Amino acid sequence: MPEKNINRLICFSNLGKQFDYRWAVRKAQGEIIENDYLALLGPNGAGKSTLLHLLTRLYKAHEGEVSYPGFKNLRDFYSKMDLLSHHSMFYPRLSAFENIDFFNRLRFEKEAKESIDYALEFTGLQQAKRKKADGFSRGMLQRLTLARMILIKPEMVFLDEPFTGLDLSGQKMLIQILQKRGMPEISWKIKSFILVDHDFKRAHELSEQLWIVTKGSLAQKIEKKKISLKELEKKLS
Amino acid sequence: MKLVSNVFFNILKKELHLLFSGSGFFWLSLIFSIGLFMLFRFTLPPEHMSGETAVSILWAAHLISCLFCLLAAQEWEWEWFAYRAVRLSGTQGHLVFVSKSTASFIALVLLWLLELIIWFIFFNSTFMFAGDTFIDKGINIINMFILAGSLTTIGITFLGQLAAILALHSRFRHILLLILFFPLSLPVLIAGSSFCRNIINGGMWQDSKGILNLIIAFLFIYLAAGIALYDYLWEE
Repeated sequence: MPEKNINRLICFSNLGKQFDYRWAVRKAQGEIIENDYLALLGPNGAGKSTLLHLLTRLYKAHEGEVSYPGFKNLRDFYSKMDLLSHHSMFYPRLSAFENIDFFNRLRFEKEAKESIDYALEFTGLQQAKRKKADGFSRGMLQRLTLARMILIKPEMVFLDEPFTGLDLSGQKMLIQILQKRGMPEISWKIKSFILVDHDFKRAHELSEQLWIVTKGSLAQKIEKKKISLKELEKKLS
Repeated sequence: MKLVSNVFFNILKKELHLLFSGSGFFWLSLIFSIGLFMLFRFTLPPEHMSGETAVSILWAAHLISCLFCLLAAQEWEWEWFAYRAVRLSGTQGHLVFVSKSTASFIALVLLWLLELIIWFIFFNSTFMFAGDTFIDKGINIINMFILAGSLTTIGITFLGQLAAILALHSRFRHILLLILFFPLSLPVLIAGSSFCRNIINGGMWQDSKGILNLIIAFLFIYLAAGIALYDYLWEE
């Protein structure tokens, strides 16, 4: 009966990716449904980031497939998603404003000077908006990535160690966005996110579901309310 | 349609901005060419300098300058994984290929024109052309050089973008770009320099038409390969 109301956003089956003849992800399968806020947890090298990149199609899968039933097509998926990664994904020789403006224009026809200013102001980068990105600190770059996300207002967010380099206020800013599932003040609602984070306490706090990845496979899928922090810590150690 | 042209001009603007400003890869390439011209012009004894040698120097300088710009263009995509953000915007690969090639073409043709002017100044000597100078030979020769250079440069930009994306995900991307670029660019390069040699040796336009057709054929092969393969090669 409830099957009818389920809006599957992403389905993947038998997913596999090799690096140098070693499987980083193998036989991963699952689905991401609207209002799924999940965290991928596991040791270093377990394949969490690789799985995330496979779901965004940044990586080509060596086996299996990913489909996007919740979107009209791949173009629609890309217009409604964003990846907040520990790689900054900017042009170092462009200024903060030029970078954000460039990526905005790739997605939308309209100019968005005011929205860019708002995003830069919100992330505390307004003063540095004419400064080239290669002069930015790690934390500032992460704030710039956050500014791009605020501008795009994605419905689906992929977060690959997004807190890397962020100072306390930056971390609070991002935590608040994830807790509120968006920013209602600018009509941004996150329908679903996948978070890769090594801080399991924070991941537990922010997500509804926990997927434990070991040796490239999804070993366990647990609902947050069914596991305490202590039990989770035990499982991960 | 509006979004497509918007994306095209957006990428074009960004590429040109990066080529001409900042570390100035364009100017660096031009300085390299000038250095090469000076080196050969003032160190090679006049008896060893012929029109054909001078043409070869021009083409060698242009090819290496093109490579500088292409390596730079590859580097700023790779350095902070900016190409991933472009991919995640849903932009189609062939559109990226065409816009990046157009930007390279604009920059490299401008480079070719500047190289040509400087080359004319350095090598406008009577000893190379049986009593004539380039200027004596008239404006026609300049037009022919511009035509051959522009067509060859289009081929080089298409090929360069294709080689750059092929090498992008490799650990040895710089070396791989060189390995792919040099042999594949040889047909257009040889054709372009042969065309120019024919012209300075007093050859007629009709004699050299076949060479131009060859350049155009390669140009279309590189364009078709780029449009067909770019999306596929972009994925990691």
